[in-house]
Amino acid sequence: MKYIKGLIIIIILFFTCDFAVERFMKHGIDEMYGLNQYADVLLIGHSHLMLATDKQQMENDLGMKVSKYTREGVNVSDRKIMIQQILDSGYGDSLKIVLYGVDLCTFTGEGLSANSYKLFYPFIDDKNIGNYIRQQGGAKDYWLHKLVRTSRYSDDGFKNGAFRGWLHNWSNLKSGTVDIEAYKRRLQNGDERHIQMNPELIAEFKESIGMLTERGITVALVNTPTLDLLNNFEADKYDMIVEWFQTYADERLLVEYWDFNPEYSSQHELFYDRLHLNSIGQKVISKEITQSLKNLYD
Amino acid sequence: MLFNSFNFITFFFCVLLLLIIEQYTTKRIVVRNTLLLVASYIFYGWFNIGFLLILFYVTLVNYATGYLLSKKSKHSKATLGTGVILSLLPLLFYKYSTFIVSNIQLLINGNADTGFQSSWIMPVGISFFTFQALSYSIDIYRGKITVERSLPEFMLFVAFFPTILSGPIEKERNLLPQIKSYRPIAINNFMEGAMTFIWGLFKKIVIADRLCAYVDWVYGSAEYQSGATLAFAAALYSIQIYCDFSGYSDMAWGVAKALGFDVTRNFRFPYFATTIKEFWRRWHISLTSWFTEYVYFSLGGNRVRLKVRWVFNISMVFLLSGIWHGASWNFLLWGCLHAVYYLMEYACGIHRKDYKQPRYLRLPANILVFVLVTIAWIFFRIEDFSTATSVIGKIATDIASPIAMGASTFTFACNMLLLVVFIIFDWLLYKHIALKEEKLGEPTFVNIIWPVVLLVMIAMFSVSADNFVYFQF
Repeated sequence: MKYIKGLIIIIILFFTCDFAVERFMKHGIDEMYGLNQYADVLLIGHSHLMLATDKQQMENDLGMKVSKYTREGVNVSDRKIMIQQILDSGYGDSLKIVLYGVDLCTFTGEGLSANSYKLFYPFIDDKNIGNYIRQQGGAKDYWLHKLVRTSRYSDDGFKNGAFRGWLHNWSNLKSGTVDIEAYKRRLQNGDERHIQMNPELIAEFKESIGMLTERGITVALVNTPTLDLLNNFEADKYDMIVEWFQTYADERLLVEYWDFNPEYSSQHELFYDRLHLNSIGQKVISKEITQSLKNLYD
Repeated sequence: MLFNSFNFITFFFCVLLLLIIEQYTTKRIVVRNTLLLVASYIFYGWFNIGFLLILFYVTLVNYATGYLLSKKSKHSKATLGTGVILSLLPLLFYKYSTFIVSNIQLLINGNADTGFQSSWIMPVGISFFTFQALSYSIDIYRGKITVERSLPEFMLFVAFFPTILSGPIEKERNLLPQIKSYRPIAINNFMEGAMTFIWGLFKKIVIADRLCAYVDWVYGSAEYQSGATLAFAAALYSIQIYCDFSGYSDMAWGVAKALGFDVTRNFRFPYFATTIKEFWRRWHISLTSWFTEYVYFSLGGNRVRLKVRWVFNISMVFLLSGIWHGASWNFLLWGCLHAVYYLMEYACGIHRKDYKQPRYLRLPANILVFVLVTIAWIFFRIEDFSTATSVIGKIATDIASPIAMGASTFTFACNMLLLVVFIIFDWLLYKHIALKEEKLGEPTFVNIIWPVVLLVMIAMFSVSADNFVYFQF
């Protein structure tokens, strides 16, 4: 009997700890991404926009609440789910403007990858996200993460996010500068991604923007700088994609296109690598974005 | 069906449920063993149904050899020899054929690239169950045990699912008597087994698999890494392989214990050893014991007149141990290095019975053993000899350089934190401070907190991997 009692205590204690740790992590994640606040400005994008924007600096300069829902590796299809998640949560009601990160590779690659649903484990309790995970990952995966709550955070990216959320630390920790010579050698070897215009991704992108604009939310397509060497690798295609974004914005009342490449892509000291800005670059571009936002509202 | 998979957990609880039903209904050993045998064959056949043929073949050869040896004819030696050769044939074919053919070609033509490539998939665990079955035939020949008449029970001895994939390599005299006696499912055994299983799972999917990502990254680009990074990766690989294999062994022990069986503990804190000799008493104990009993003693052990013959015996054991891991020169070299370490220790007088290590030397000796073992692991991990030597050269000349952290600083920090946690847990176990093995199943305060902490850490920090390092052997 004492063994059965011991077993029951272990099970109860495990689920109690599991619940407590998950609540702790979830709070950190919500703080990190601003998913528990009514914000005026929402940033949606991947690491490109993540490292280019300083949420705290923007909030101080604008006097507005900013939510920064940017995550590593999320493509256009993932972002559509992220936008849907915000809009469904009720916190989307306060949004005035969404800064949507775009770059030369926005339409390169495939749609949702087979594992994209794993990016949303911490939000499995959200009805739509839960259904999406069950649909994509199957019942076994769904119930495992539903029951063992801490397993939703097995990805280090989530743990890092929760940790930084609790510390209120949104700073860019990349302090190095891109190695131009090494990158030139890489380009000489042709070792670089090719720009594509995947129709599936374009359709997902248009749907995402539509979801926001039909609610009266302004969308700014923000092209934060990428290294000029990268932009010139396939210059024709690069010009084509920039023109596509510009035309798309020009044709819509609530869509803007802000491109910071012409001014900054050749300032190599601002880059950590060919795609990402370092902490100095982040300060510079955050200021530029803040100014653009001020101009928009003036 | 890996131990760290849902399929296995489902499978295990189905088996457990059936055994409990059997316990409260028929309570007959024949039914129980039949259930376990079917379960073991399903478990092994899950990897590849064709593997069952090899398993059955090795089982049958040794069952027949044992039967013939029990007749006590004057041809016993020839019978045993034939049995051993027939048992080893699948192992030789799957594991060593490419190596043997290419090296013969190298000798004849000066070109190792023969185009001969065994396209067959090597049956997982073949080295383990072959050695387990062989121990039965050899023990019968030596008159240590009597013949097993029941084929199903012998089949269960060879195929027992907790141990078939990566050991421990059980001897007949330990496992078969347990198979032949009715061992009911008991909650204290289940608790003890579950605790050990959870600890093994933690070592495997939290420590080993996380370190594996870093080590693979470093060795994947060894030529670009600094000496300090390579040294650090080598040390981490020592811990990775220990956690991988001992983690698997703990899981195997736990599964067997939950079913009421006591199998050999394969590891006893090897990195706390202060001599190489002690290391080998603590590392892969069942294989060391197998080689000691069936190779070292067969060669005469230490009861030989010439010292040089004893040196040969020791060297053979280590060389065969290296080759057992795979048909590759790097494993042979790994075995050689350990033979050299062992013999050097002997030459220094450390193996003398009257030698007593001073207390103040224990920690430096412990560190030295870890360093020596780690150097040997470099040859074990890196197949290409020139890369392995260049790694060691770089470590020797560039040790004061910075350590690369990999793609994510946060992941690196997590790994280091988990490593510290693991070392503390392992040390507590070693010192019997937190958990006493014999009381693992007792519902004490520590025994309740311990699995809860481990389970939460497993849920949060595990990474998915679909293999164990020792499955390839």
